[in-house]
This record gives sequence, C-alpha cells and structure tokens, in this order.
Amino acid sequence: MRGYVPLLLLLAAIWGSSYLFIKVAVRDVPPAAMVELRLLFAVPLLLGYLASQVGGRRALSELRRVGRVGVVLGIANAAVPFTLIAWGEQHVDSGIAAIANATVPIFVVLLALHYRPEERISRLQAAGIVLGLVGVAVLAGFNPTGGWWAVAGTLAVVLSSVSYAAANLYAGKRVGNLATGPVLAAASMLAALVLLAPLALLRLPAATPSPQAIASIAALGLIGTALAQIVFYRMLRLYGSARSSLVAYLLPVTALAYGAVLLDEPVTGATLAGLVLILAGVAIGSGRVRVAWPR
Amino acid sequence: MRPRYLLMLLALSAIWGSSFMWIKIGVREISPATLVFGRVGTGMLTLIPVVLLALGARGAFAELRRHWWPLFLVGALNAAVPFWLLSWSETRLDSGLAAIIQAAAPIFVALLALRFVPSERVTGWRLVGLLVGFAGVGLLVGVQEGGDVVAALAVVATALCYAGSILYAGRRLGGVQPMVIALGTLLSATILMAPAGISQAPGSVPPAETILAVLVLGVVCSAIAYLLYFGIMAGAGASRAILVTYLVPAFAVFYGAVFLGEPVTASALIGLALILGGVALGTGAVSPVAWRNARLRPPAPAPRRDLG
Repeated sequence: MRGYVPLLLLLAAIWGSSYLFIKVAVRDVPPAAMVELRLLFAVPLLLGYLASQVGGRRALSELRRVGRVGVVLGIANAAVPFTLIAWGEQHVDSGIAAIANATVPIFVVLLALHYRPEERISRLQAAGIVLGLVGVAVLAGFNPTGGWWAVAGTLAVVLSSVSYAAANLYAGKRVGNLATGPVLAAASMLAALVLLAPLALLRLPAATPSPQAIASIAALGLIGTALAQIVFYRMLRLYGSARSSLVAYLLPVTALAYGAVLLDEPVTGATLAGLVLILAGVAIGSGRVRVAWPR
Repeated sequence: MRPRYLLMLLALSAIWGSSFMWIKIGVREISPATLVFGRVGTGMLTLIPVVLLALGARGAFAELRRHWWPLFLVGALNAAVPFWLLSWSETRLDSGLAAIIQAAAPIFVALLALRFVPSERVTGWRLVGLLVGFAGVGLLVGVQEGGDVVAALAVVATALCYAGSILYAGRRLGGVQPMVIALGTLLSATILMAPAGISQAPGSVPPAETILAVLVLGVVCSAIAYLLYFGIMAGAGASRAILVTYLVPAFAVFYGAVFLGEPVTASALIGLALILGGVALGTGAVSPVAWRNARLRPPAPAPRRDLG
C-alpha cells in the first residue's frame, strides 16, 4: 500500500518534528550556529539524493544553471526563516511556533495583492485573511507565560512566514522551467550554508553542546529538513500540488502534539483558538474553500 | 544440523538472551525512548557498511526505495514499538520474567495465522499447545501485583507485535534480501524514535555502564544478531532458526539471576515450562500423533508456508 493518506500522515509526522528538534537544539546552541549545523547535515543528503536521481554530472550542471535564483531562495527560503524560527523558539513553545508558521499561504495572498496589481480576490477570501491575522494576534497576544519576549518570539516566526511567502512568489515568477524542486532545494540550502557561515562563526556556542543538542540538530537536518523535502517532492510527483499542500494543515497539529506529549508544553485555549483561526483563515483566504451564498 | 550452525544458534541465543539484561541496565539511567533510539541508531550505523559492502550503494538504495512502505511498517511493528514497550516494562519487571513472557510470540503467530491465513487450521495437539501456552502467559501476568500487571501486558503486546510483523513480512517482503530488511527496519525505527528519544535524552552524558548497554544492544543484539539469524535461516532452514525461541528465555533468566541478582521464582519456572511446551506443541514442532504415524507412513513433503 503506498496510498495518499499514509504518505500524507508520514510526511506530517516527520516534518512536524522539526519544531521539536529546533526547540531542544536552541537550548544549547545560538540560532545562527544551530541553523548552520542543521544545513551541514541536510545539504549532503539532499545533494546525494539529487545525484542518485539524475547522476552526478547532470546534478552539477543543473545546480550551476540555477545560479542567482538559488542564492535568492537560499536567503528568503532557508537562511532567513530558519534563523528567525530558531530565534523565536528560544522564547516560545515549539507548538506555538509551528502554528505561527502555518500562516504562509495568508502572506502569499497578501504579498501577491501588493506586488501584482492585477491580482483580485473575493470578499470571502479577504475575510479569510482577516480571520488568519486575528488568529496570529490571538496566538501572540494571549501568551501570558513568556511576557514580551514570547510576543517577540511569535512575531519572529510570523516574520519567517512572510519570508517564505516572498520566496514562494519569487520562485513562481522566476523559476519556470529552470529547475525541478529537488534541484532548487539542494541549491538554495547550499547557498544558505555558505551565506550563514560568517554569522554562525560570529556567535559560537559558549560551551561544547550536549550530546542531546547535537543529536537534535542531526535529526533536524537529516529527518526534519532533507528527508521531509525528499518525501514532499515524491508526494508532489505522485499526487500534485493541491493534494500535497494539505500537509500544511496537519503540520501544526502534529507539532503541537509532539510539544505537548514530549516536552510537556501546555496546550491552552488561546493556542487552540489561534490554531483554528489560522487554519480556517488559510483555507478560506487561499480560495481553497468556497461558500455557496444563498441567492 | 551441522556443528557450525549449532554454534551459531547457541551464540544467537546467548546474544538475544542478554538483551533483556542490557535493557534493564540501560533504563536505570535513561528513558526507554532514548535507550531504544540509541539501540536502533547504532544498529543501523553498524549495518550500513555491511550492506554497502555486500550490495553496493546503488543496489541497496534501490531495494530500500522499492520496498519503503512495508519496510517502514515492519520497522514500527518489529522494532520501534516492541522495543519501546519492552524497555518500558523492564523499568518495572525483572528482565528474566520479560524474556519468558516474550517467548510466547510463536503462539501468537499461530493464533494470528488462524485469523488471517485461510488455509491454516489448528486442531488436536496444536490446539492443546496453544491453550497450554496461553495458560503460561496468563499465569505470569496474573501473579504480578498492582501496576506491574500493565507492564506484563506490555510484554504480551510485544509478542503480538512480533507475531504480526512476522506474518506481514512473510507476505510483503518475501523476496527481499534479509540484509536489506534488517537495515530498512532499523533505519525506519531510528526515524520513528528520533523525536521521543532525543527530547527525553538526559542533559548530561550518562554513566559509562549505560553507554555500554546501548552500544551492545545496537551493535551486538541488533545488527550482529540479525546477521546471525538470517545466516542460520539460509544455512539450516527456518525450522531450525526458530529453535532460538526456546533458548533465549533460558539464557535471559540465567543472566538476570547471575548478573542482576533477580530471584528465580517457582511461578516463573512453571510459566516458562508451560509457554515452551505450548510453543512446541502449538506450532506443530512436536506432535505425539505425527511421531507415532511417522513409523507407519513415508514422510509427506513439507507444506509450503506461503502466506500470500
């Protein structure tokens, strides 16, 4: 059985674990250094996978062809959001971060409205976007445990969603037939690895990280980053983007479950309200759910 | 059986029998999830070079990819879940006792085969064997006090997991190289256990004894044991390889009594006798009727155990 549902659940389970691994890792390692190590684990696996798919020589030439697009995506789709999430998770629970990160489709619509004047959305979609933004406010504002730092942490993750959304729009315009998903993933993460190196060296961990933190970063790079990408592209190939993107709705749920069960994070009413509002906002705002008005 | 395989069989039983002791030592200091993660992780790392040497990177990767879904399920059902349950139950139960209860796995295979394999019939002496075996399991679960009943039931659940995975693997992974199954199992179990294993890891480095226990469990009790087991299967046949079931609990009780000072109770010995007797009769390995008839009739060709 290699059906759609098992693959979707599997992907949600391995992708959703990233937030947990990040949370455990940033206890010991500063954000930029953590992301650098994460990429150090993920990039060889992604490159190896690419080479096994198309052959080493062809992989190299495809990577070279991506060029500047890869660098821009490396910044907007990897280096910046990874670091923002890592910084944010120093101050908020992993489940909260995952929910705040589920807002990407909302910002895709908002940015598209701003940068493409010809883009139009329905009144319902607009309402969905407002709903999602209210969800962000609920999630960030009703976080009494961590005070202002927690608000800042949540907003940092929201900012990472904006970065992902911008990368999404840029890729939609620039990539075209230039490259396939796995090539872009490998190229952008390789670029991020190089670009982040100076920042990571600027703030090294104070002491040698614990074995737990190192294991967490290794699992984050190998499982939560590289393997999740590979499974996601497989899913895209088998089931198309509409059905594959449903994983975005499951990710915050699995991440919340991991955090609650394994890290004893509290699941408050505000967290759940934020989750429901954001997911509903994404579903309506992206135009996936339409309502038939009575006439 | 050639002496070489007899030796391998004894070695395998001694290795697998010791795993219950190493688990007991490991869970004193680290959480069961971390122990299992360390075990399957080091087991996987040990098998990778072996498989690469035997099959080459391209061949091994292609096999893993082709059968990723059954391998993933077997990894959950044959490693991650039962290892975790067993390690957790050994935070409450003696290691020897856990080994005895787990020895009932073949009885569950017979029971599940009855349900899922239409041609399978259990009558006469085999039925008696199943009942005797269950009586043994029931006795051992029943004599536990308070919360330990749950732990004993968790061990029963591991036996069920193994039985289910044996039937499933026989059906879905029949033609796959054993080495690939072993690697795929440990790889997917490592992925599955990573979130719980890492998040529940201790903040500081555990004592040397604990690290040794994890390394032995991974390298010896998982990787090397798998290779030995499949070697015996290939060289001496599955019916001989399964004999390990009878020897493992004996070794485990011995190690538990000698190295961990666990008491050897009368109920444990009676339970062991009932379970092993039940396994012998219930799986058809020993049959008083066949014995008598064997002298009268020429032996029939062995039925092909095709589960698909």
